[in-house]
Amino acid sequence: MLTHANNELLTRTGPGTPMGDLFRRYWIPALLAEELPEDDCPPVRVKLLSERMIAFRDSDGRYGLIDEFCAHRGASLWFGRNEEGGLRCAYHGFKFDVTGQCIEVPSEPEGSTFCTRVKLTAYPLVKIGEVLWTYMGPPEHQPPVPEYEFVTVPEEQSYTSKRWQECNWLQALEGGIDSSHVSFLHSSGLRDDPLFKGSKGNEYNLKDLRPHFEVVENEGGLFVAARRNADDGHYYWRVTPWVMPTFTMVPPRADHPVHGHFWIPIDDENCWVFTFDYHPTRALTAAERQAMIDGHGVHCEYVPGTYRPLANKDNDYLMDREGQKRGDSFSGVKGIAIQDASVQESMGPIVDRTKERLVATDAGIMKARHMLRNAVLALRDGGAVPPGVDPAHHRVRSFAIVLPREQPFTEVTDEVAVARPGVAHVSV
Amino acid sequence: MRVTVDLDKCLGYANCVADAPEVFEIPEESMVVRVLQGDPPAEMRAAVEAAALDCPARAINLVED
Repeated sequence: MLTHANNELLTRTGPGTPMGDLFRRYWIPALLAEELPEDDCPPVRVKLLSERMIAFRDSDGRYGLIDEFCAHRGASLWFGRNEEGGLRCAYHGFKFDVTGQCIEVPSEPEGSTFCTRVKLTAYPLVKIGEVLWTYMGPPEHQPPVPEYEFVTVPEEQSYTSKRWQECNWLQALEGGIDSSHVSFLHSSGLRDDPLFKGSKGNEYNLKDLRPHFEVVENEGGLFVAARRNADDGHYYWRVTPWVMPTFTMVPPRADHPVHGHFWIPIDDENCWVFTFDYHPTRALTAAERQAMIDGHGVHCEYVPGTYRPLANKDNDYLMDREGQKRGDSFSGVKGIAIQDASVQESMGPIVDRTKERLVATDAGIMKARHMLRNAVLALRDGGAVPPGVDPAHHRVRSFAIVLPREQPFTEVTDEVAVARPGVAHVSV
Repeated sequence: MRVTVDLDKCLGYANCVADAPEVFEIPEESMVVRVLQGDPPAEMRAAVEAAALDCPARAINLVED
């Protein structure tokens, strides 16, 4: 449960909000590199943390993320011409470079220096892996760029997609650190999905519906560990790292690629779900990559030409009541990503957490809320650098492991929960 | 019966507030519970016992007088 005041504190991320200030201390995924595929390509509208911006790639391949609206009289630069080293407003021809600096006002007399004193808000935009990342905070506090393993492995080992989710970022994130729902909502995926099936761990998942949760704080966030019964005196552990404020990584299954998410606020009632799949030591097979493109695993199918899922709230997520009854899936909704989206969006644009009746398997969610609030207040009141800013905190891995019942999972985290180039992940 | 809460364990799940609102509350700016009545009357015993049972953090202690 959260009081109304704390629910407001953690869910509002616009300019000037305490949680928005926290988000503005991190590099966050802004868009996929595929959205700006070549120099001078069409600009893209980007809304993040309730700020409307335009992303573009100039004639020299430099990326820019600038205020969407022209400094002159506020027309959208989305209509602009991306040409010869800048984005030119379609209304009166004001031209801006990737730093937001106005570099030409064609109506001004020759020799005018007016444009040098006109500048739009702009944020850095850098390509790391197949993701374009931005930092929207105070320049003097800009940290080193992210080092999450999915963007540091060779390109052929990684795949990233994104989808629009129509609810607040926090309830979407909380689904990512609540692995107890997997045995219910996603039970069909464990049996049938080409990117999930065939793992011994799936059997443990489906047999033991009452996992015991242990949640342990680390420097960058949490390890959320779900313990289920395995064979003869052993437990099956699935350990999900959460890196502040909004990165989670799902524990792997067999030798399948390992996946995870960022939930990035678009505004307070919408978020982008950036979803990655990668293998630490080998290229993705053609079949795996195609399955991801086709929307299997944690990815989804789209309304053509958009990043909106094909199954969405306007069509009741293509709910199949007969399939639900037959047991094709637990909820009647197809696909892991859309199963998550359907229940999380059904909670409303911003879920009212004052009414929750929580149980022990929600420990990860509760501890994450505490950590977020503590970091928000420490930043607001004392300027403290929040957990998860340091790239060292990004070099984590999820893992799945069978351990003797007497051995705590924390004994192995130093060895297996750290990303080590060329070393395989630990999976069951 | 005396009611205490171990604030090192309490995470603010608030099942106790739902079960026994006369005895427990979470102040608007807080993430953990506050005991309103440390020595609740006998008629609240069942509600307080339910609160202790329903606490996922096992943070509520009941001690008989």
